Amino acid sequence: MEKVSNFILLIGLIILIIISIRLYIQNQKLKKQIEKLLETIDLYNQHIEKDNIYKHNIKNKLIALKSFSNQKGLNLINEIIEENTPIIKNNNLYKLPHGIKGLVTEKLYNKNYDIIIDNKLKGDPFKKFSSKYFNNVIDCLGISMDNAIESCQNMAKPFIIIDLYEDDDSLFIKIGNNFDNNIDLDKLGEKYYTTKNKGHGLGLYSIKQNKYINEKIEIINNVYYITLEMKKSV
Amino acid sequence: MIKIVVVEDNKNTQMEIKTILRDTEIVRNEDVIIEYYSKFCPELKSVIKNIDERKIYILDIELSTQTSGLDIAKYIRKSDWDSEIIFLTSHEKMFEATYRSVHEIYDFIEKFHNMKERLQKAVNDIFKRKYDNKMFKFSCRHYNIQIFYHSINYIYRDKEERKIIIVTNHNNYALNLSLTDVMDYLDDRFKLVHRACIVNFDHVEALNWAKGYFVLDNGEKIYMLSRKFKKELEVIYGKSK
Repeated sequence: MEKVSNFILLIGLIILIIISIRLYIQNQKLKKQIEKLLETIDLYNQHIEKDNIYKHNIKNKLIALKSFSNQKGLNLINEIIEENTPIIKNNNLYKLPHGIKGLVTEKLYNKNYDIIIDNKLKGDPFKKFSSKYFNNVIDCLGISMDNAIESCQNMAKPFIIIDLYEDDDSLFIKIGNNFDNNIDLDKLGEKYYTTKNKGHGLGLYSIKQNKYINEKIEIINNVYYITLEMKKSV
Repeated sequence: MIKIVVVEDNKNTQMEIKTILRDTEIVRNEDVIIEYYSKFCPELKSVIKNIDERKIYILDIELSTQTSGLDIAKYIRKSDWDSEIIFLTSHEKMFEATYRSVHEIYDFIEKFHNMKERLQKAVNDIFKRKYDNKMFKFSCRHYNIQIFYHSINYIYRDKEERKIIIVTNHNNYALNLSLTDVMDYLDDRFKLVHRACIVNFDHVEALNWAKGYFVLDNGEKIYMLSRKFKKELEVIYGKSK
């Protein structure tokens, strides 16, 4: 009897091991597919940027040519300039490291803001974070992005700036946005304090409570910045 | 004395800028030093760190080095909001409005489109205009705030919140400071006109002592004007306002 139950347990264990190995192989394949997809998106966005620059340069060259043209040439050049060649808004999201690209792209996709990204990080340091640490980073980044988007969306020319840089010990993500609001500076980050018409006033509070992330708030020349600092080794 | 600092890695463009500046009358006539760099080097860093000198930076936004013109502008603005920055660019200026707003860029000039005229005009205008990039700066454990003096309209004390409110055209900021304390952070264009109000006199259009209000250049009428300060202010500003 005992031998039979041991045998059944052994078979069960073997089946579990086989399933685990299969899941691991599938996971690795998916990871490679995702990386390939992200690389393709990066290339596509870089291509859009080059195309935009090319279109702008051509337009300037055509304008310069007008001064050398006869009337027929002038008419032709004007026709070309006035042709509808839409410039696709490209907010250089491809510059973001893969680790946070998904979240930021999802938040900013199709937003008609100027989004300026300056990435000084080497490679994708977020890959080295443990799941728990990475989740904390994503939580704080998501809240900061939501706040930035809500604050600037009613501006005539809204913009969001994302700077990524590092020193020997830490990574930094700095998010800036323009805004038009009244702020009680000493209450920023207090529980339930909000400058928005809706919301619970818990976002910035939860960032401040997060023991893995240090935050710094600055307002310079009517631009609001929050800098999230995360240690490289936790 | 004004220092013009040019950062351009293309030798031909650098020569062109030299010629343009040499042909600019105001640069010839005024007390001006011009320095040329092709990259962000230690010598350039120490020039930037010296904020005692008034400077005009002419930066190639697309330097083909690790540090771009934009990185240099960011580095400048860490400590110096007084100097003016002009960007030179090879193509249409994407995000121009944002860069102007964030880094207080004076102008973006395309290298291949009227560069001589645009650069000379920009330099002339900078020399002639009133230099006013001083800032209100305050920092504490929780935040750091910097606002140009010229964008502050007035500051008043909110009795209920027991805080001061800095009023600009777009935003109001509440801080835990007294009016007396905040005067230490301001220059002499700011005057106490009421026990609970300081106003930036560069923005005042009119004072009505009889009815107790002042009118700003944005049309706002503020009822915080006390006769107690009339004599003192009339000595400074006369009765013209």
